[in-house]
Amino acid sequence: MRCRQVRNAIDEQLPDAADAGRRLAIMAHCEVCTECRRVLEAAEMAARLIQARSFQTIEPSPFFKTRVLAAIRERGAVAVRRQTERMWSSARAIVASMFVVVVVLLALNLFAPKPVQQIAGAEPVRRSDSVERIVMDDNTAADDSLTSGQVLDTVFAQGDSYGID
Amino acid sequence: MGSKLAVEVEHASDIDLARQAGSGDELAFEEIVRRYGPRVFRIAGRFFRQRSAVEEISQEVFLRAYTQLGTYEGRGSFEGWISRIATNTCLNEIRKAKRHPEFYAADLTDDEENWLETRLAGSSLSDDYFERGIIAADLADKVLGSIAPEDRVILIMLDGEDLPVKEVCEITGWSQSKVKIRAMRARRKLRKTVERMINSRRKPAKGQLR
Repeated sequence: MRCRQVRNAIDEQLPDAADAGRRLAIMAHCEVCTECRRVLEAAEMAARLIQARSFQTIEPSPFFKTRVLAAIRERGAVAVRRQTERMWSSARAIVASMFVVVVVLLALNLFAPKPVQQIAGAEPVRRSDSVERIVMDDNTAADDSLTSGQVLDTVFAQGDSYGID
Repeated sequence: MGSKLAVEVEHASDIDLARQAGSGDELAFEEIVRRYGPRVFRIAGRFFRQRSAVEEISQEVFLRAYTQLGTYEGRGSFEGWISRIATNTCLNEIRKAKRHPEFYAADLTDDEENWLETRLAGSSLSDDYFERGIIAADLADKVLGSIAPEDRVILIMLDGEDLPVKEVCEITGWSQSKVKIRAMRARRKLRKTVERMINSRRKPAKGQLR
């Protein structure tokens, strides 16, 4: 085995954990190679340190269950409180927007121009007004839609109102 | 009535417990905490050594598990599911803390230097005291602190607790090849750190090594 192979093999698995053939090859190489022996030594030391770190275990205290359940309840209460707060804030937003709409409608009602009211005693608008408007406006395009009878009736009616015989 | 319910919960399967706890049964979740508390503590103990830190992170793990109970479909084991939550929570916590300091040989305490000298001299005297004692664990923490948290936890599981690769895969959610490659690279990094530490002991002048 070459140095590189030995070092890769050591990093992959310590000789103690490797199969017999591999272990013998690594050990034989390390007997004659100082550098690789140091690598092996460091790898074994690292493994010992990791094992030393793993010896210490911490068990849960008898109150741990109670603590977890209390935290869950607390977090649940916080979630409910947040939900209520969210609900109230959205309700406030809805009420505020409704108020704005009412104010705008009121403003429109107060300041918008009112429609012209019919003067008392004035002649009521006649059914033939539309025909009359077409004839009197000299709208040639619309004139085509009228019958000659309608045109004559309108002209005579207008003549009466102006005192024309 | 209450004790009967408690007995029923005690004998319930993990999947039933998860379902009951998911629908708000506190007694069922209490049983989950009782069953898997030691397991979660052991996982947290791989990352943190202080009892307060281990307890706090374990509590966080169970809180997360409680909120994620709906995602457990019973395909894998509940133990594997909760172990993954525990491992990820611990890794996130370590990443948040950004604790990844360089190791300096000059940071060793006298006790740690003694331990190292004893080991280098090949002495097996008071091995038990040193190996199981707090000194070796402190030194291990310093050395392991210089590698990435993922590498650290892989090495502790594989080389410290002798867990099979398959179990490590279940805990981390990684593939077998990823675990093996990561472990090999982590061993190399750790070995090089230890080599530097040993070399600094051998040289007459002690200095900061990187």
